[in-house]
Amino acid sequence: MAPLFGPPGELSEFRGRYRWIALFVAVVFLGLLARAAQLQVFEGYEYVEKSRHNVERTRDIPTERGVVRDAEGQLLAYNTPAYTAFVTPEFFDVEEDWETVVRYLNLGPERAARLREQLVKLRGLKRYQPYPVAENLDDRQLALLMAHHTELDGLSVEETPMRVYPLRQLAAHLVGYLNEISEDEIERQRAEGYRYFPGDKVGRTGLERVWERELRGRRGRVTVIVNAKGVEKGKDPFGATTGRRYEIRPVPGNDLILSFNARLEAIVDQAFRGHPAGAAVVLDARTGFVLAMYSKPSFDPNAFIQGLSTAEQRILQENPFFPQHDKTVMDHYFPGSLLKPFLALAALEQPQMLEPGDLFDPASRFDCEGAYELAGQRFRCTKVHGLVDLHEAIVQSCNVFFFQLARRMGIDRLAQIAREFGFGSKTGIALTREVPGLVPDKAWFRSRPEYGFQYRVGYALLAAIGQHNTKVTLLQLASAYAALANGGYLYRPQLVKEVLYPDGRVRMSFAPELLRRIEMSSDSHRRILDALRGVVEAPQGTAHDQWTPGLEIAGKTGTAEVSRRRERRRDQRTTEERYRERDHAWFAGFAPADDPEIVVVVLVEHGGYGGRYAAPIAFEIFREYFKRIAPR
Amino acid sequence: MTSGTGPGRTRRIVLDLPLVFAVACIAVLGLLNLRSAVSVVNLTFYETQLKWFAAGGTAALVVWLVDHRVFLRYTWVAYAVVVLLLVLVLVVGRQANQAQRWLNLGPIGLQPSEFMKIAIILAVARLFHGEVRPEPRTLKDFLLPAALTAVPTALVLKQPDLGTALIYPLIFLSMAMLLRVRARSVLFAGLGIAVTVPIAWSFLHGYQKERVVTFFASLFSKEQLDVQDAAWQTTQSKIAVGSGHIFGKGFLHGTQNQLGFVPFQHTDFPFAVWGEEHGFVGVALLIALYLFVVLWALRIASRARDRFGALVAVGVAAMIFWHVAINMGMVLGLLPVVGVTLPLFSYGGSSVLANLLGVGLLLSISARRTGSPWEGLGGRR
Repeated sequence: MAPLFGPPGELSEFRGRYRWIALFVAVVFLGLLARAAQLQVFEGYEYVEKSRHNVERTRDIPTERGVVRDAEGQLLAYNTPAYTAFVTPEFFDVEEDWETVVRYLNLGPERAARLREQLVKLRGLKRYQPYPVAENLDDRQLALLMAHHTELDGLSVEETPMRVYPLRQLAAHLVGYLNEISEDEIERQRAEGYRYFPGDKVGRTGLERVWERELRGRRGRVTVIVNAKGVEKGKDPFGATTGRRYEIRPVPGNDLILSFNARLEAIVDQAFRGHPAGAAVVLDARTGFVLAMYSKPSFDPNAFIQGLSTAEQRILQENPFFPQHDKTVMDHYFPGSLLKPFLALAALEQPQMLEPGDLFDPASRFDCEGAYELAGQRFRCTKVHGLVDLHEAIVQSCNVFFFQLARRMGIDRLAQIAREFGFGSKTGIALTREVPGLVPDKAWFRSRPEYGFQYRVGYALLAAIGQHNTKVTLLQLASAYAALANGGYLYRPQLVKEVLYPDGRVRMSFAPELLRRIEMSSDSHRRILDALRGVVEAPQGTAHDQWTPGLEIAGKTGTAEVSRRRERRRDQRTTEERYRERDHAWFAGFAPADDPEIVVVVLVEHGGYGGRYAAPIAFEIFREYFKRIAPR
Repeated sequence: MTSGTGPGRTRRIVLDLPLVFAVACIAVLGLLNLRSAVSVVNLTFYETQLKWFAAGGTAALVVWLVDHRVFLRYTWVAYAVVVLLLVLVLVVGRQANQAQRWLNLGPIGLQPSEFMKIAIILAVARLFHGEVRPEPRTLKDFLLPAALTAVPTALVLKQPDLGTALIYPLIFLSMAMLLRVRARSVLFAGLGIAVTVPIAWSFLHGYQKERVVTFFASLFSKEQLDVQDAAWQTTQSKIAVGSGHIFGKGFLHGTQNQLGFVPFQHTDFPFAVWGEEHGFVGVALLIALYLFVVLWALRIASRARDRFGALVAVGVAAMIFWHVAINMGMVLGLLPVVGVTLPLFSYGGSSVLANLLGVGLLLSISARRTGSPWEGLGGRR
């Protein structure tokens, strides 16, 4: 065996090689250094930009919608913190993880399929915008997501305000509700300079819709730091590398302060107990501000926020009384006898009748024999009134008197006074889908094919008692009666008193808006008020039965016939059919009678006789108002 | 510590302080950098690495105390054992990242391919150490060492581990640079390599080929092929280093690293983390440290008292050099992405241990250079 440690050997073979090797090593390392200098020093700024671009995502952040308060400060719509689960399509594996998310969130199969389709469909920049998949998460869902969100890339949970309508059915039509914005609407809003994103909520009905641009606020934009998987990083223990930077601070929406009084609305609701359908309006007689707007049946707007299930939708649609209709402005009705005081006023103010030399005398009487014949046609009265003058005709609601009057005045004069009081055109209240109603005149009949382009005198008689073609809304009646009460000042009905900035400063303040002053002498005014007072207080008054002395109320009852389909004999009709053939019951009035503060208009759909069914509701509203809302 | 066997010789400690200092610097910076790199992965990695450093440092000191010529005797044993372990890896090894590279020994995982580098250095040195010939060598002289390199290379390729398989031949070739070879033989060797490369290419795995191809494609095209995994890794690592700018983003503040954009930031790409957090200044310092270590190793080789020591020192220098060059080249986007560690920076116990064993060998050789008090230590019998 060779010795373990032999001679050192000849080292000369290696000599001279080391410096070449060293040179090679030095050249390579210098090359690396040069490359580092290129990347870091010369192109450094470029890469700094790239690294920033890597981790920074600009994200729009929702703002807080303004609240809606009633005149007494009670909240009608506000926001509550809720948790929303978002999926960012770009970072989310639909194939792999969607089923898990559906299970955690307990999404129904229908909704799950629709959302999945949405997520797959989104393109371009929208793939980087978190898309809401479930809102208002409950504790169980929240816990599941919190425990598992690290395994589910692209899933995030954010606190987002949720809209709450604490009064639920009460005032639902008025306040309205939000729901998800459609693709078309996003485009439309964008064209007008308002930015919305898929999944955003937008005011759909009522004040929420009309005042959308005040309530919505301005969304902010924030730059967030994300990791390589696009997940936003909270503040980590080392700081600095993470955190949010606001590009635009979100601005909360403005608040609405209404003239509406929620307690009064509750009183109205209480007064309507026992009646399945109807509506009422309470206005401030001196300003036109709305104190209550009531439409029955109603719906719970909170359910609309999260999207109704198909079952809930069906229930709403199948309800025969159109719960989603705001009957105070969206529907019009025959006013029935409620028009008579205006006719009377017209006669008092302009006694010159159609016939030359025929002057109307307030003291003149007509003999009511229970009907009026014109060209062989009988126009019925409610009963045989005998000799009545204008005062008694209003108090007892005598049709014959007004048939006479209408024939002598002509339909155009009738239409003129109605229009002066605002009938036949929208009041212009800031609510959606208001209808104008209809006030026909000669020209109108002559333009209609269904009347053979002809006008007949009989039409004036029917118009005088608010039937046939004359149609009005409750709100029109309310503001017209307010004008009647206050001596001819017709105000535009308004709901919003003030718009406040989020910090409470006043942004807009609304004064009563006088539409026109209707000419009326104090004598005419007094006569009409006396008559309307007689309706309630005189023993023969149509509303007298239901009145209990104490509060001075003036008003008019009305009973409007509904169109009847006489397909079967009366005894063969069902209860519901019989119900639907009953007349609408009306009452419009104001109190206190000598110095009117509020106007109340009540409609009980298919209620029957107005003095019997609508008047007591109005009386209760008056009574409770002066007892609990504005004690005297 | 010990000896001075002759009269008048004083007992002295002969420790190569410049080398120890430079290596210690790299080790400290490496650990610091790892602390940042694994802060997003798993902090226990950092503690594990610390333990391996302790073990490796101890091993290096032991090796320093032993005369390097003692290893001559155990060269073949060492070589055989490590090759056996490499075979074992392929049979019962643990899989990670689609490669089977680890052997589980109780709580610790060993990567025999790392130790194979030391074994190859010893084996090649052993083969060339004894014969002294006046005439230049021919190809025939290189057959056996080439074969000894080829066997583990093939085994490692099978794992697959392209990076390490590249390192083995490079170490062998680097050591061969010391030898006088006939010009004709060099020519033949060149031809031989030109033939082998395409053959070796055909044995590569699909993803390995893809990486090389995307890399070369990216050199000629301005378009970013960032759908491709490898190209994405290179892009992100370049962004990391480049965005470090001159002074860096600061320790633990590299967004590319902290937010997961740098791939394999603790194993293959710690240099990207370093570049991002410490900038060009830090990069220059680190390159200077590695350059110093490699040049110092060459100096140790040139002053070795025997051929074995010189060959081993050059081998260790080559091992460190190629690792640094390939790893940095990859991070800086000059080379395709192959998994090669950065010595003492990358996470991995076997890598740390193998590198520190190499440093131990350098210390041992340096201590017994010509004229050193330890020169004859252990040499007398």
